[in-house]
Amino acid sequence: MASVRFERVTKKFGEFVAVHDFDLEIRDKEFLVLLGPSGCGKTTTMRMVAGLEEATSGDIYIDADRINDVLPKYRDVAMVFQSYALYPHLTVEDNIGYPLKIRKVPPEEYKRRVSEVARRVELDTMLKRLPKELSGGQRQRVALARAIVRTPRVFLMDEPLSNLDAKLRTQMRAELKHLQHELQVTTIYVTHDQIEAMTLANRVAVMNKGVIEQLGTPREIYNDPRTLFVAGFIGSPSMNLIPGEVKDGVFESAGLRVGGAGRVTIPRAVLGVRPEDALVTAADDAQANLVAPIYSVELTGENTLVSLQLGGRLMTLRADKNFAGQIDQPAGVKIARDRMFLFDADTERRVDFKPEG
Amino acid sequence: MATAIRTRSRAWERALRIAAYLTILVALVLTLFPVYWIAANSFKFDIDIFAVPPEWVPRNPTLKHYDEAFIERPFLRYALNSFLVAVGTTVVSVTFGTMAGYALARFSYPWQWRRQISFWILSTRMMPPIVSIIPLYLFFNYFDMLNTKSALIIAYTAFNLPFATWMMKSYFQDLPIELEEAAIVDGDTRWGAFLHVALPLARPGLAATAIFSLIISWNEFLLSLVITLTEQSQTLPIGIAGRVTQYNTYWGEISAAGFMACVPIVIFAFIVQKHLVRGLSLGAVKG
Amino acid sequence: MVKAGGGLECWAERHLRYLMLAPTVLILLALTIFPSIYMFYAAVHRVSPNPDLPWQFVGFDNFGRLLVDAQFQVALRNTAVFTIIAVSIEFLLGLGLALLLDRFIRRLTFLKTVLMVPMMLPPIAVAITWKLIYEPQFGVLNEIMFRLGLPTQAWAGDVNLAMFSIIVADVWQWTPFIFLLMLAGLASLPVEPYEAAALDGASSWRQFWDLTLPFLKPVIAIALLLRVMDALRLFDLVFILTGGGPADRTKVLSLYIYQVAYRFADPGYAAAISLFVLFVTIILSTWFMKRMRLAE
Repeated sequence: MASVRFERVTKKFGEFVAVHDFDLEIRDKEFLVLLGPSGCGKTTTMRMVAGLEEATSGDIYIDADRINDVLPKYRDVAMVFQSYALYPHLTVEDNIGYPLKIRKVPPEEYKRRVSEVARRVELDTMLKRLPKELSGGQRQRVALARAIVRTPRVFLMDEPLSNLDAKLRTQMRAELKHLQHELQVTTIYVTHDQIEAMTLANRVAVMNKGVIEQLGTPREIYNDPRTLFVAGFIGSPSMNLIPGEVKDGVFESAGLRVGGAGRVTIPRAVLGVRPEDALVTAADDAQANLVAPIYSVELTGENTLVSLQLGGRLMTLRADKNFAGQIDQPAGVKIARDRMFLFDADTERRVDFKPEG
Repeated sequence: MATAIRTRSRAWERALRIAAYLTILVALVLTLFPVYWIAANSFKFDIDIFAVPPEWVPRNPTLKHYDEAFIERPFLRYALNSFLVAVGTTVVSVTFGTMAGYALARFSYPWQWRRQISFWILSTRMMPPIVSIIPLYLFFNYFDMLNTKSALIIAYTAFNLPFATWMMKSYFQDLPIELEEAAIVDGDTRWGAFLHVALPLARPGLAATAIFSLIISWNEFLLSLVITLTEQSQTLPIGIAGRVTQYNTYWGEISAAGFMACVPIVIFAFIVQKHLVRGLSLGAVKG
Repeated sequence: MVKAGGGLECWAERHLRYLMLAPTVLILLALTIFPSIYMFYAAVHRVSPNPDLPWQFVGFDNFGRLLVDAQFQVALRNTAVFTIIAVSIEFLLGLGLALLLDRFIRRLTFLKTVLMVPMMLPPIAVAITWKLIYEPQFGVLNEIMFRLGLPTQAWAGDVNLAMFSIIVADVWQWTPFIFLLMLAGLASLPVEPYEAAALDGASSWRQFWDLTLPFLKPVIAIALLLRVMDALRLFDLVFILTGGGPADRTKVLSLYIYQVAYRFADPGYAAAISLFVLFVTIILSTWFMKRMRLAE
């Protein structure tokens, strides 16, 4: 049981700064997800905890121990790799038992622990097989079993579900969450998949270009994005970002006027609207905030995604599954007043905004 | 390619097929005849070797020349020397070459050393042996090591070590690095990950590298010609060359010894057939 | 509580990258750099093969001799002729065979390996085999000439045919090498571009020039590099088949250096020639490898 703390950690690869002046504390027993696009530094951050990369500067602690100079073998962390990294020349049993063998665990205890863990991940009938004789989901379980067989202080998971097909991924996600709840081990989980992040995490750290954009619970991240990057990255389909300007507290863009930003003036501003936070109505609806021609209509099953041509860009909205509009017809849009976000495009920060009317 | 040819007429396709199989047949005959011929002559009496027209198949097969070469003359000794030197060279080169190959495949170094050192090691392999002959000769002479097998092993290592390094580097580069990272996180040291994970997985490559190293050493001629002058230290190729004199060529004897020198090589060639391309291109082309 | 690990273990672990590389680098430094320096030292001296006699400093005399030594120039020319002709034939033959046979021989692994046997054989065995075939009195080649009604020849003993004979033996041994590498190159070609080209209406001749050749370029470069480097060091075949004769027609650089050092007992001058050869090989191979980015 342990907490992990980063203090002003920077990692450079040559001239390239992968992680920049990074501060983060992962609490004991917490499930923390590092979320971000590829190249944002999330994997590097995790690999520094494992000892696979060395921090260029700054300190990393597990509990009170500074681990920068500790060899990986003494850090007592376990890691699940994206490719599973099963040893192809060893059987399932030897794969799971490898961490114990390295630590010279006596044979009886070795046998007991391996079979116990194998039962837990439902692999007890496959102990004698080689990894290549297993399905993708089973390999994933071997990798998990190898990580939990010695109850480490910290679990590290590097996109562990991304090599599974969609159906299996949903199932393994649930198993993973259950397992972590049962074992109560501090977990750092890296992914670029926001659904995984939302469903698994106690807290999510959204990373971009080597820094944390926002740290918070999944709900906070979704409902209260602090920066333009988080707003655009979280949510699927992603939030509509409409560029415009704010004059004396009023946001203006082609065909759209919303007041409520106090008395400020922002020359380059962005208004954010999630697809589900606006209604598509008739073009002649008097309450519509704007009117635009329909660009495409996509039925997803549970609802319909309607894209409108707004100036030079598209605005995507979630409409009822029985939506009947045609391409090129005009449609009206009624945006929920309290669900609009305003950002300053230059600082990329959110601006206080209480829409009126 | 297949698609383009598929659009051609059937007659053309058939002609191509016949031409190809004929070519293969001719190539096989041309490849195998010289090997057959040396074997055939090693089993003939001298008088049949000199027969005009040549005797295509030995009429009176005999092991006389094998007896001459390996019992009366010291070819068994030469073969043993060749073998010992080849094994010694292989052990040294493959051991150090594997470690260096691994280091160059996996680690990063300051100032682009990895590139520079790889490149430099490869260039030492390009060096013609004749160029290092004189200093090596003077060196071994100075330390009174001429006519010793250790001198041969040292000299051969200079040429086999770059080869082994590059071969193993290419095999290690084929292994996913996550396996070793997993071992490290699981509690192994960096060296342990190499020993317990990377090395067992590279075993086929290791075997191929060792066999190629044996072949290269077994075949070597020039270095041995200069460094060894005594029966106790000379290798098989030198023994054979020694029976081609200005006045007489002992055809039967050298055919027998030459054929015996080829036999292990042919066996080895078949053992490493999957690795031939990589071995012969120093790991640069993956077959 | 985290243990930091023993001092030695930690030190070894941190410096593993150097420790694993060190033996090889040290051995190769000792066996290549040292000889090169030593050779330069020998090249500016008159060296007696008798180790008890002192070396006599002669400055750059030995290098100066390169310019006026007619035998050296003959050897240089012979090496160039051999390298260019032998490697060209091997390349064209190997590439042609690979293109013709690729589709048919791909699965015949055993047959392929049989065809590869010549290049694995000890060069000495190859040399005596061809010596036997070229033998003027009872050799197989003259028997064939006779049967075809052609004049018999002295082959390796003939002033005009000696170099040709060496080249033929070399081609026999090393064409399989080019063939093998080209087959490997062809086997790794992607299929889609050819399908696209076929749909675009490209003839197979165009496909060869526009697709196959560019794709094969890296493999071709490696094959040529290795063959040229090998051809430059040619020794065994010449030593057995002709001894450099007749009339120095097959005297190549390696053989000449050997003769200067051991027959003419002039290691200082031999070292000077060796340095010249080393210089040429370094220039050639560096140029080649840089172009191909082989070190990656």
